[in-house]
This record gives sequence, structure tokens and C-alpha cells, in this order.
Amino acid sequence: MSTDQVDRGGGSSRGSAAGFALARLWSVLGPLIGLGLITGFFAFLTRDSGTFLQLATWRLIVVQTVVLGLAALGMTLVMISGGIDLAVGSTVALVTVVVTLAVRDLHFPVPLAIAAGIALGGLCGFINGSLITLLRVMPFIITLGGLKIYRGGAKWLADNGSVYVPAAAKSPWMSHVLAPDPEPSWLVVAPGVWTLVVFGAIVAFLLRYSILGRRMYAVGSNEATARLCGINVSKLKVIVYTIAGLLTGLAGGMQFLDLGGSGDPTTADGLELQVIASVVIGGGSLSGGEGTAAGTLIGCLLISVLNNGCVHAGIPNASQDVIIGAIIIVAVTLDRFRRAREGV
Amino acid sequence: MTEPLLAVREVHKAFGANRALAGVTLELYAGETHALVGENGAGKSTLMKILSGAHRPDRGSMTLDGVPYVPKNPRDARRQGIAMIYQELALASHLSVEANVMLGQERTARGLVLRREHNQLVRSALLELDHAEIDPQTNVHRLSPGGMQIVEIARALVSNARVVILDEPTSSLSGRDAERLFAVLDRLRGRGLAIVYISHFLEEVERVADRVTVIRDGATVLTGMMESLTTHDIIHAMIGREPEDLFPAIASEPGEVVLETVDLAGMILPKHVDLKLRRGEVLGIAGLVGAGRTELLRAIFGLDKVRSGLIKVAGIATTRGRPSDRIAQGVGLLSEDRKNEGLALNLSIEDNLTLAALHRHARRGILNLNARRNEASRRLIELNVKAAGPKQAVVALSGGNQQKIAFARLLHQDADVLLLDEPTRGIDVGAKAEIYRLIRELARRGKAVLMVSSYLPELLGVCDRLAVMRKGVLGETRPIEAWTEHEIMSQATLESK
Repeated sequence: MSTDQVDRGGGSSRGSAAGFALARLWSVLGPLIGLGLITGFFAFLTRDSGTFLQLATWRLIVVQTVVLGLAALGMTLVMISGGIDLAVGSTVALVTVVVTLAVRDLHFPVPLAIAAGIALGGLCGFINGSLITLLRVMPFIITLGGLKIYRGGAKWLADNGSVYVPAAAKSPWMSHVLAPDPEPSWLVVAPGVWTLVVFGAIVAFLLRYSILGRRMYAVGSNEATARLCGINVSKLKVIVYTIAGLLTGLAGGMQFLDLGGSGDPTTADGLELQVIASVVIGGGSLSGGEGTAAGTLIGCLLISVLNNGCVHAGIPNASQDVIIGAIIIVAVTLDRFRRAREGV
Repeated sequence: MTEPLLAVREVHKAFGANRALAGVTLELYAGETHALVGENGAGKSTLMKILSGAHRPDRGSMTLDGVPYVPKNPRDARRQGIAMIYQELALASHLSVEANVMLGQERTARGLVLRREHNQLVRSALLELDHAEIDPQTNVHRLSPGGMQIVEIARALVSNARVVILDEPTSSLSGRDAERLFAVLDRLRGRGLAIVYISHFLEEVERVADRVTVIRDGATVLTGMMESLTTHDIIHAMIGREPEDLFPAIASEPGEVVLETVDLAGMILPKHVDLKLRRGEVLGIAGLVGAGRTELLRAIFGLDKVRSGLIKVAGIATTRGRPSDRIAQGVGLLSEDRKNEGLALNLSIEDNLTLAALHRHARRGILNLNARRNEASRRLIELNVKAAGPKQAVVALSGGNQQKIAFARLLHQDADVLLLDEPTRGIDVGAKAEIYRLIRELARRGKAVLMVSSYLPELLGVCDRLAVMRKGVLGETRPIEAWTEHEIMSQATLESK
């Protein structure tokens, strides 16, 4: 009704009003169609064994998406507000080491140690955000520094090797969180996957319905406008990097569980690039102001399907990388075409 | 008269269902400066793109020197002697003047650039343009906006252009640079070049042009010698109706002082400003570009740092305040730079419109999106914005409608004190009239408006009182009846006694 009222000035505006709804839908629908195509492609390649479309395969795929997905939700916030975080993989590695050491040396119970790991992730994010705003250096450079520093810190703390939680400190739930066959079975998928879904919903709500979320889009779209509208841009950036860090810390906690209760300073190497790829495939933009939680999660799932599908189809590792690279380029190019057509 | 150098006859061009040009005719003679005017969206830029070879006409003919002119692409157009100088200059800012002038037209021998010949060509071109003081080896980014424009014109000269098209050439120039540009254009004309001068500023058009062509809705509606036409004739042709109600006479009653500055000084500019702004009045600030007018508004609003002095809003005195504090006090700023600061172009109308006061639609930080959308829709109707709806991206709107969105944000935040920086820059006459009406209407409703403008007729037409700023110092505020354009300009430019 309201759109009809303002229509009187514009000529073909009715059609374009529907166009916006379509464009919004497309931002999620596009990656979803891509996901469908990729799934169909692998189902076709593996049609003889027929294992790819089985529930067990998909339970595994979603479990493999948890670490990537949690980190990518954080990155979505960062990229929407016009930044980037290259330190994600290193932060995850540092968190796995610190959680393990907290249990082994400080005798923390595992849940408390994971909570400390999440807090550490938040601290890393807070440091990234503070340095970016205080030093006024590009996020790319600051987090590139962070990438080396956090990784180095992890290696230093772990004395260059893996560290392990003593067997006595382990409990059975630790292996259940990311078990493809969940316990109890009515959960259908692993508790870790539900954790990702819940945080996905929280981030989606934050972005769409909160003042903070709308301000993130504003800062990413045009910082000067945000300042003009009374937004404290520096403070907002620190908040964004801190929230993203907390999510990365949680991803680190999951990675710790995935490693069977151990810390590995070399784990999650290059995770940041997979994370950025997921956000971009999901409609995020390196220049800020765009992206959604749903799009990002679909992007993550697409990458997991690719990894898993290649294994199923017996495609060698090197070819997987080539395929992922090609998909990123295709996804972003298609998006550019769509925009050009809409004249946005 | 002799044969036209460039003739455009009955050119049509459509993009899909949108008819951009519907019969444009333009005849251009060697040795004349020809103004091309029309509202935004009238078809000027489409015509420019056709002349420069970026688009092809659907119908109609073009001849250059009596020969059919069918440029294959911009490069071909340039080769045939048509040079375009866009509003956003196309210079490589890290390269030298010489490198920029010769870019794409290098003189080479066996694959090597002939540096000495380049230097020679550039020097003589600059001399020709009476800008011999520009060193060809200077980096372009160290030049003033005026200097950069000269580099573009020098490039056209070196390429032996016969037609030079300038799009809003003075929009980023100070008064002095603009005067020098006009002198350069006179020289070019003297050399037998034909100049197409596109501008919103009719005063400028009167100053530089020999003839004028007005286009409206994609068609030529008036063409004639400048001396035989009045400003009234031209505006009438541009907007297709009588221009008498451009400045509405809406009276307002001045009330108590809501904004006061005492010896306000910024880090560089302004240097010394005392002003008192009352409810229900529009106070204009005139002055040259660089006098510190924009800096004054930014300092009041807290966007730029304040060195010393007091800012009193509704009786509460502070030296410093952040934009968020000022917004809370009921102060709003309309930026002079709509594209880079005023609006987040890729975001929706509703996001842009409500960004300064999102809390009005929120409880505990969570937005009521429907309430926000309804309010945005109401504002679109109130300001007669031509848009498809509140979800549309601002970038898709015309300049005038974009400016209305920026204005609507101040209304949405319910500002009592409106700081307006060049509120009608780059928008067409129709939208200007609506903005003037809105400003007067706000004053009538008891709002206080502080308005900076470089366009004297609008200051004289809209303001109740006016002061002139010169080199960071604000002069005496007088009632608008006490000012003339001449008086304003002499205060703005002359050394005080």
C-alpha cells in the first residue's frame, strides 16, 4: 500500500518495486541456486555409487561447515562494515592451543577453557579493531600483521608442536558436539551444527533488525555519511571486530573439539581465505555495505559440498582448489552483471 | 553565416523504453562559444556521449565540416577533433603534467617516447593558454582544480581538437580560477575552435557564451544569440513554464536565538565568527570558495575540530561537541558533497533517510521495520520525491531527488537548527524551486536555518538576513534588503579598510 502512494511521480515504478523484492530475494537465491547446481553436479558424477545424496554424507558435510561457518559469520559483520580480517585462521589456531593449555596446565574444566578461548578470540578482535582505528592503517595491513603475530604466538605457546588435553580431563560430550551421528538421534544433525544455526539466526537478526546492524551497513557503504549522521565510526568498528573475534573464538573452540581435544598451532592455515570466499559467494562485497548471514552460510555450505564432493568423486586435491577458485570468480562476476543490469 | 563546423540534426536516442533524446538539433560554428543548457535529465549528457562516440544515435544525422560524422568510439571522436572535458576530470594524479597531456597521444620514434618533443608541445600549449607558470614536470595532484582543468584543455590543444566540450567546468573552481578559465576559453575561440559550454549557472552562460541552445525532454526548444535573449527567456525554455515562483514569498516571524557562536575558530578555518541565529529565520552566508563557510558549518556540527570560542545551542554553551551530541541538541547538517558524504548511495532510501535518528523507530536497539518504512514513505510523499519506494537504492535517483532524501533526513531527525551547505548544488531548476519553498516553509514553522551558498540570487531570494565571510572572518549581518549582488561580491573579494 505504502509503495503505491509514492508511485505517482515515477513512471514504471510499480515494476521496479517488485524488482527490489526480487533483487533482495536474489541475494540469497543466487548462492542457493549455485549450491543446487554444485550438488547436482556431484550427484551426477557419483551416480554409480549413489552415496552423495545420502543423509550420512550430508550430516558430515554440515559438520565440516561448523568451524568455517562460525568464522564466516564474524567476517560477514567485518566485511559489511567495510573491513577485512586476515587473522581468522591464526586466531583459531591460537585458541585451540590456549584452550588445551588451560585444561592441561591450569586445570580448567573444558567448558570454562572453551569460554576462555572465546574471550581470547574477542580480545584478538578487539586488538585488531583498536589498532585499525587508532593507527588509521588499513584493516588489510593490521590483520595481515595479526595473521603472523597470532600464529607465532600459538607456535610459541605450544613449543612448535601439538598440545593435548590429558585423557583424565576428557569427557564423552566433547566428541558428541561434532559427531556426524548425533546423540540423542532426534537432533538429526550434530549439536555443533545447531550452534551454527542459532548463531546464524542471531547474526541475521542483528543485521536486519538492530540499530547496530543498520549502522554497520552505513559505515561500510559510506563512512563520511555515517559520521554525518552522528555515528561514532571508530567505536562501531572496534565493536564489530570484537564481535567477529568472539565468533572466531567460538570457531576455535569447535576446532579444538574437532581435533579431539588438542591444540595445533598449524591448524586452520589459510582458513581466512575460505572464510572470505564464503562471504563473497554469499553476496558480500570487499568494498563494504553488503552481505547477509544467510548468504554467507550458503556460501560456506557450498564450499563444504565442493570439498566433500571432490573427495566422493575422487577428484584430486589440486583440482579442488582450481574449482573453488573458478566458482569465486563466476559468483562475483554474475553478481556484477546483475548489478549492472539493475543500474545499481 | 557560413557552414556550421559541427551540425547535429534531429538526433533521437532511446535506452529501452526510456527516450533520452527526441529530436535534438545543435549547430556549432568555428570561433564561437555555444552554451548548452537544460534541466538534469533533459538529455545533455546523452547528447555529449553521442558526440564523443560513446553512444550511437538511433536516428538523425551529424556532420563535421560538412562530412558525415559517425564516430566509432571515443578514441575515434578525439582523432576527428572532438575533445570532451568531463566534470570529473580524467587525470592520472600521480603523473606529471607532461605525461598527462601526452597520454594516449605520445610522439614516438622506433618505439621510444620523444621526451624533448613532448616537453616542447606541452610548453607551447600552456603558453598558448596563458598558463606558462605551470611546470610540465609538476605532479598533477599538486595543481589547483583550475590548473588541472588547464591540463585537460592543453591535452585537447595538443590533439588538434576543433571542438572542445566542457561539462560544468566551473563546479569545482574558485571565482578567480573561473575568471581565468573564461579568459582561456576566449583565447580558444579566437583560434577558431568551437566550444560547447554546459552549465547550470546562467550568469556564467551569459558571461561566456555567444549563442545558447536549450534542450528540454530530449529536444531542442530554443536556440539563439545570447544578446537577444534574457535570463527569463532561457529559464522559461528550460522549465517550460513561467519562472516567477522560483522564490516563494512565505513570511516568517523571527523568535528567540537558538544558535550563537562567540569568537569561534577552527583549526585552520574559520578564524573568527560571531553569529546569532533565531527561530523562524533564514540566515545566509555568502563568500568565495575557500573563505571558510563550509568549515564553519562543520565546526558547529562537530565534524571538524574547534580551536577556541563558544557554540551555544538553545542557550547551552559548549566548545566541542560530537555530531551525535549536536543531533541530540536538534542540529542537522546538509552536506555540500551529496555523493561522497551526504548520502550512502548504495543503501536504500529508508536507510539513508532514517540513519541520523534510528532510535526513533527502535526499542532497546531493535528496530520496528514497518514503522520505519511507513515513516519513510510519508516523507517521500511530503517532499514529492520521484522514487519507486522506500526500499529503492538512492543511487538510482536523480540529483534533485537525492538532495530531497538528504533533506528529508534532517526533517526525520526533527532538527530545529538546520545547517545547509549549498542546498541546491547540481540540481535542476524545478527541484531548486521545491527546495526554496521547503526552506521558507521550515522557517515559517519556527525552525532556524543557516544557509551557505555560492549562488547569490538564491541567497537574496531565500534569506531573511545575510553576512559575508572573507578569509575565515564573518562580516556584519544585515537584513536582506540591505544587500545587492554587487555589495556582496565587493565584501567577499575586497580587502577591508
